[in-house]
Amino acid sequence: MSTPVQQRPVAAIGVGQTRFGATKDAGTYVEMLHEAAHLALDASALTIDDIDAVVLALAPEALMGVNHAERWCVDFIGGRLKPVMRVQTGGATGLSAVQAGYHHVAAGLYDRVLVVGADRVRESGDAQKIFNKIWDPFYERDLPFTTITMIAMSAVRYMHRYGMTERQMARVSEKAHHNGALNPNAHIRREVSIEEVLESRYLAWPLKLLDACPQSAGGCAVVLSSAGAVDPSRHTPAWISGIAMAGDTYYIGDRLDPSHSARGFDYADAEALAVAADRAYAMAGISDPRAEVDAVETYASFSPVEIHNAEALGLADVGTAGPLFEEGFFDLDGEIPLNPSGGVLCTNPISVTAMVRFAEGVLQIQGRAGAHQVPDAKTVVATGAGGSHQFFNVAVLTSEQRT
Amino acid sequence: MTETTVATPWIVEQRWDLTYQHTADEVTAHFLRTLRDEGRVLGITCPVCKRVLAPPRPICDRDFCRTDTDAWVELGSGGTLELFTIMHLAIQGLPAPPYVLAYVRPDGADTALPGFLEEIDLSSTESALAELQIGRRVEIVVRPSRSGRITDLYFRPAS
Repeated sequence: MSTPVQQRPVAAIGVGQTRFGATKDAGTYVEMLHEAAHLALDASALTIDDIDAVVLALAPEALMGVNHAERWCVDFIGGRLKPVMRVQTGGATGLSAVQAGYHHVAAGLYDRVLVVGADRVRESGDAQKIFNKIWDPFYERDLPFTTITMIAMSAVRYMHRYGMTERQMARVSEKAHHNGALNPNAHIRREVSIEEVLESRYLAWPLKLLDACPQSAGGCAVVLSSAGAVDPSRHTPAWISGIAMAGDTYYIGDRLDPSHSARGFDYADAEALAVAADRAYAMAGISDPRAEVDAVETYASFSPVEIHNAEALGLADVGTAGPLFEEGFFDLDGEIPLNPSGGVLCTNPISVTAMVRFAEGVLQIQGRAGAHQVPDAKTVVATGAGGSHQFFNVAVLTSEQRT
Repeated sequence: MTETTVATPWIVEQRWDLTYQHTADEVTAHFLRTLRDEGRVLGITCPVCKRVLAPPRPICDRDFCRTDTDAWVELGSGGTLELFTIMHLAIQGLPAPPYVLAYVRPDGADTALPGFLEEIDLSSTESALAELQIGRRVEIVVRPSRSGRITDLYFRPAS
């Protein structure tokens, strides 16, 4: 690793989220971008003229159905004659876009960057038709792999290694839906009981319908600012004290030998998430995340993913998070609230799902999360995940400037 | 004229209808050709870390090096079940469920091959799980009729 040069501190000063919901009930793709951008600008007391550059979060465009869609988007994100880039890392896109914006500001190129995206995940009727196309064309595509089978197989492996039960998965889902019911922007806003989850139909064993995320539509935007451009009279900054990313191999079949992992991890675990978290924690000066992190918004498209993510983020010893969820450790009123917004199990607009994690972290730091506010949240972690459980990013947001 | 009702959504249908011709690299092509023509399953040895990669690829992701096309290893028909799931959800354009998808590490290989795990009693979750345990022995079977695709092989429980 190179020696880091001094980077400028970067804060998120305002976020915007549309109401998330079903694709058929949502606005057009580009209108949702426009709405989210305006909400974030309003929350930042800025106009588009104050923005130096725009980063568009747009995951595989086959979901929304317009190829090279940044052409269509540019007017709706205020990008005309501004520097514009598009970022794509699958489900991690939303946080990768924030990371690109962070680097714009940290490097001293721009003072205020708008990061914005949207999705209409069911535009083609079912995103899983498209997700089969993310697999290797020679060795995997002829098999009906999808993102559902991908996570189901990780969950089976985790059960085998650490004894996770379907009831523990259901407890995660119950917790997520309880929190989501408190979040006015969530797509799914209803409580579910552990028994309801356990009695819901199997999608791919051991995953059941109520262990799974919905396919959502909506938009999200974030305004990032240099320290010099933060106006204390108008802004409550959430400082990006750490932000990092790690990718893993394409081949799931190469992630099955724990002896090849420094952590003894395999496909049961989220190794690249752990690597990204270590980098982000080091940037933020966090040595004991269990003691120092007040809340977490983590990208978990199915309930068992929250369990191994909690371990990869250092919030629980490896193999122990399942019982901790059952004990309420990660509840909204628990030791470390995990996904106070309801998380991805209640809302999954793929291009911006990871940005929503970040935006919810900003709201927690700003004390603006409403009914799902974690009291006195000063250090919040947000994560993204994309690809074949392959691209992971982690941001550490703090109320105080650390860098 | 005054609009008095909420407009129903105005839907414009568009279609992507694309066929791609993917050219395989030399290593992958040799694996698929040998599978089709000879019914043999090959791995390849990384010249640096000496892992046997199955399925074989033109590079090793650990060492960022090319693999040698003279470092072929013939894999046995036995293997270990490493991952599986029982798929129950019907998805347009994909096979009708239920079916079992699996990754199996062939004897002599360091990585795992994807495939269907067949000849499992799928009449209930309980009956299927009775035969599905990570770490169990499975047989890698080459189908009698082959087309040079990965689905020319499948897995079944070892007797």
